[in-house]
Amino acid sequence: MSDEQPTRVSRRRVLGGAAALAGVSLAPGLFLVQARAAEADAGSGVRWGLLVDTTRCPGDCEACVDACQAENGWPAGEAVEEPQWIRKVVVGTGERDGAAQALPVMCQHCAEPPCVSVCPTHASFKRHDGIVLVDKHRCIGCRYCMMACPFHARSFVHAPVAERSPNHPRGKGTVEACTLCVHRIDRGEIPACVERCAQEGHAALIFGDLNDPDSEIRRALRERTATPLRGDLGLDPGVRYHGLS
Amino acid sequence: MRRKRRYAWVAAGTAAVVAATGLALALDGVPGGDTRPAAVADRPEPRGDACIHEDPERMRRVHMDRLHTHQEQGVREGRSDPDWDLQSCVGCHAAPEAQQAAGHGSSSDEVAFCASCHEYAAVELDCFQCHSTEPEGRP
Repeated sequence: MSDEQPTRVSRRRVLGGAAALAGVSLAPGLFLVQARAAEADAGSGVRWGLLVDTTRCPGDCEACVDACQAENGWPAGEAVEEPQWIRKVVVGTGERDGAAQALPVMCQHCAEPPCVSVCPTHASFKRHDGIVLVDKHRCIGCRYCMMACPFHARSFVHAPVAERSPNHPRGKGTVEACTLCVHRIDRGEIPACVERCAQEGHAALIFGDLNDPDSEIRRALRERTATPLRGDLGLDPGVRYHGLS
Repeated sequence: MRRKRRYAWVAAGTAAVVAATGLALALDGVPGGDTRPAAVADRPEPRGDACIHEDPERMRRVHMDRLHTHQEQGVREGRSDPDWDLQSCVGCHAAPEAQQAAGHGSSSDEVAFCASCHEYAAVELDCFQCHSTEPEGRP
């Protein structure tokens, strides 16, 4: 009994000392608290967005879809369980008024993304530059985000991936969607679909910084009326559409 | 008296474990007088002279922590450092086709450099279920 009292007193000191040591380093090269680099996160103050000019988007052109597949390595397929990072959607039949419109639909990179709100593991997240991504290291494949997305923009990888793209790792059991070609943006390039659309001569996709008043997309937005898909939901998508009736 | 006998048993047990470990290392770990562990001795050579980041001994110990730190920065914050990108590791360490055909150790894997050690240490290597093993992948 007599030796218990000093133990109880010294325990706090021992714990305090241990905490102080752990704060410095757990092991050589492994720090409990990593000093944050002074540089800012990618694209602070930037918000990347897309303007889709549906009046310039021909119904039979799938160049943006092909470019996305080639860039990010997802397989083509019509079945509902096949991945669709970007797809052409036809609005209206055009039988009565000839007003059928085809438009590419992909992740809308919302400012208030419901997929991020519902994700139980914080795998769905929004970068500082507004790009909404899936961190596949954290994704457990629950697919809540697919339920939450009103644009049906996300897909689930059901089978092991044979052809792995260096541009975008894909893995069975995780959810994936358009990344706005984040790997290209980080290198200072434009998304693959935008590049291909311009090469095809349509230039229906305009990419740029929505926060920069002098950017090409902001100039285009001043000249053309543009609406988001499902504006009633108040998600503030980064992808806007011109010419939707 | 009983306590002394217990100490003696503990000491004898510890000595036996140390001796067995030494024997195992002598038999398995250092084949043919080579001072390198078996897994390291029997793996394809990387393309460069040495790892560009740190000396190989240290990389062997801390590469997983370094990759994890870079993964967080690269994916979530968009501050990808090409030197610490997994793709740049693959660029040097993925085995060329000739070496794959020859086969190294128990693995003729594209990433036999990683696999040889991971198999030896029985640590699952699941990076390449998603990540590419194409050495020339990055433009």
